[in-house]
Amino acid sequence: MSSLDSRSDSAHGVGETLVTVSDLSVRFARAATADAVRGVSLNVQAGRIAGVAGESGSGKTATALAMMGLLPRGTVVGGSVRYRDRELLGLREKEMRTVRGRRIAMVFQETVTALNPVLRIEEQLAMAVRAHSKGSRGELQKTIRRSLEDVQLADADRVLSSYPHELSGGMCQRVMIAMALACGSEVLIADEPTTALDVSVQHDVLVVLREVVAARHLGVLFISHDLAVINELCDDLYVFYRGEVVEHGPAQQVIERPAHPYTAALLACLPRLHGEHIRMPDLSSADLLSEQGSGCRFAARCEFARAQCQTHPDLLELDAGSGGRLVRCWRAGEVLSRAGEPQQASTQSVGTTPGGEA
Amino acid sequence: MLPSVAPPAASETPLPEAGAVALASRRRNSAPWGARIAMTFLIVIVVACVLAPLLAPDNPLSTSITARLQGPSLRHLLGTDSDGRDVLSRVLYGGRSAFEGVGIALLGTIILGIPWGLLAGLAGGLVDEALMRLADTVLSFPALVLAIAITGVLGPSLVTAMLAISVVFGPIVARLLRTAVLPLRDAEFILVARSLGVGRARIALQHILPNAMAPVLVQLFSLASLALIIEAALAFLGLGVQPPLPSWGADLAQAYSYFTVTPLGTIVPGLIITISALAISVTGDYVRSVLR
Repeated sequence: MSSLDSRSDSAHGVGETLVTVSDLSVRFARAATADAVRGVSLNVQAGRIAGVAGESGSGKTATALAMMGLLPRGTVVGGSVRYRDRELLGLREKEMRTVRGRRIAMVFQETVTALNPVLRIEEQLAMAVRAHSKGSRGELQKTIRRSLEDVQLADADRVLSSYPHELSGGMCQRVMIAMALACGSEVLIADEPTTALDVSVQHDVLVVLREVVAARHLGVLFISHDLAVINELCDDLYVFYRGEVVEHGPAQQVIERPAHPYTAALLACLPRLHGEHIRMPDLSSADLLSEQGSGCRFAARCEFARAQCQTHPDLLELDAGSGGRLVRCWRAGEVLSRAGEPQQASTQSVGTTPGGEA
Repeated sequence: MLPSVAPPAASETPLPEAGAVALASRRRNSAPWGARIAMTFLIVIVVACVLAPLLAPDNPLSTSITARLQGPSLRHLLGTDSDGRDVLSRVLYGGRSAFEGVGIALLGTIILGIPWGLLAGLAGGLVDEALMRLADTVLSFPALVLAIAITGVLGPSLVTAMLAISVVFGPIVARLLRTAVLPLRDAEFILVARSLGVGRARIALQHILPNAMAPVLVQLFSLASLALIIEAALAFLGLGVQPPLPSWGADLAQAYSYFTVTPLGTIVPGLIITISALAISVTGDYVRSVLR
């Protein structure tokens, strides 16, 4: 089924930009004021894994769904999502269906329940492939088996004839990746794919992802709240906070030397073996209101906050030589230099509110 | 290089799913004895009726003035009716129209009810409302009354009677299916299918429908049982199968005035109607327990 084989597609090299999201905004139908996503821009490049980190509610999933056109009806979406030369926002559902799976595919957090419980794996894989091509049964079988191989599910016969509840979570997750591969997609959006899995199984899935990216030059957008996983897997990192990208850069660099107070705080909150457990300051209701104001959305919890933070910061480049890093903070430079210092225990002074601590 | 598939870790023991999955991958448990008797009986009687041309000793239509109202004998195992026809043969052939009737009723119900329910469940909004109000309207008529009205208009025969039944049963199935479809729309695997670009029709037919069918399947057994009884009732009233064609209900109507002469002519059709309906119903109960 050569038409689905992305390896034989018009050659695209590593680094070619496959998806460009520009100034994306998402507002859900029932939300009166707050945007779930505000002014988000990101790129997905072939052969590279871009990480998206942030807590629940930061707009990561909303961004992913917006890229796939899977947001519920009535959601207001602005900005642009371009796949190669094609604008995806505003496409009719029928056209979007030619993109989903075939060009851009998504893998979700749920594993076993993400598959139809009454159909065998083979039938579900076949259905996915058939949605995009009409090859012969032999070709279909070949494509399916190859995609199972690519995700390292060796016992293909057993897997194919099983029902989802007969497979483990890790296997189901790999089946889902296989489905995306079998459809021939070039871009994979993975929304917390390993969150529901054991750590050891998680590792297997990550390895599979890495290999698949290398073999097929996929571009991957890897969404996770787990910075450790992102550090291990991703090439680039976008840090989300309350609907905005607050930091962007090569993943390991950002994690090692964060330039945004939120990123720094996130990393500081990672539990460690020794020393006190640090928590980010809690938000009071007053802060929540002020977060909807026009200034920096993180100001209420930020220890670096000053008067200038009442003006909403733009995404600025850190000084040249920082490897193409962007930060949305007026005081990024100070954050960066502070990042070198060892962390103090609990009672760091906090902006305007007496925050909670460990 | 990683070793391939690891056996599932203890914490990843897959959870058993209800109903729909049992339908797909049946575990072999032995059925309770009541269900087994019921299913055996059903199979036997259906096969017997299908093979009526081979099994029936006499032509069910051949009358004989001399052989009227006889009790059971070697010649006529169940006796004869008031027209001298062999009761056993009448019962065997009558079963054909009974089960044919049930078949037609079920087919009609499925053809009417499933698209109805599926569309209502998937479309939502105004379409859903309209379809369900229509269902409510039809359901406000008692089944038998509606059947009588329809056969009155279309002319009495087995087919028209059973179509009338379908009209009444259709909305029942539609409602049930719609209820089962609604929560499925938000199921995770539906979102996954959509994200892979699977078309709406395929999702509806291959993802949603099979997962919603379990309660409908159980209901169909109850409806089949009811259809059998209604077919007999209509024939009894002269509105279904027309004489001289054999039918359990019609034979019952003809025979009961001669009860004191040959009780068998009344008892046999009556009993077989009741037991067949019961057998279908018990089988339905068993199916329901399997699907849990």
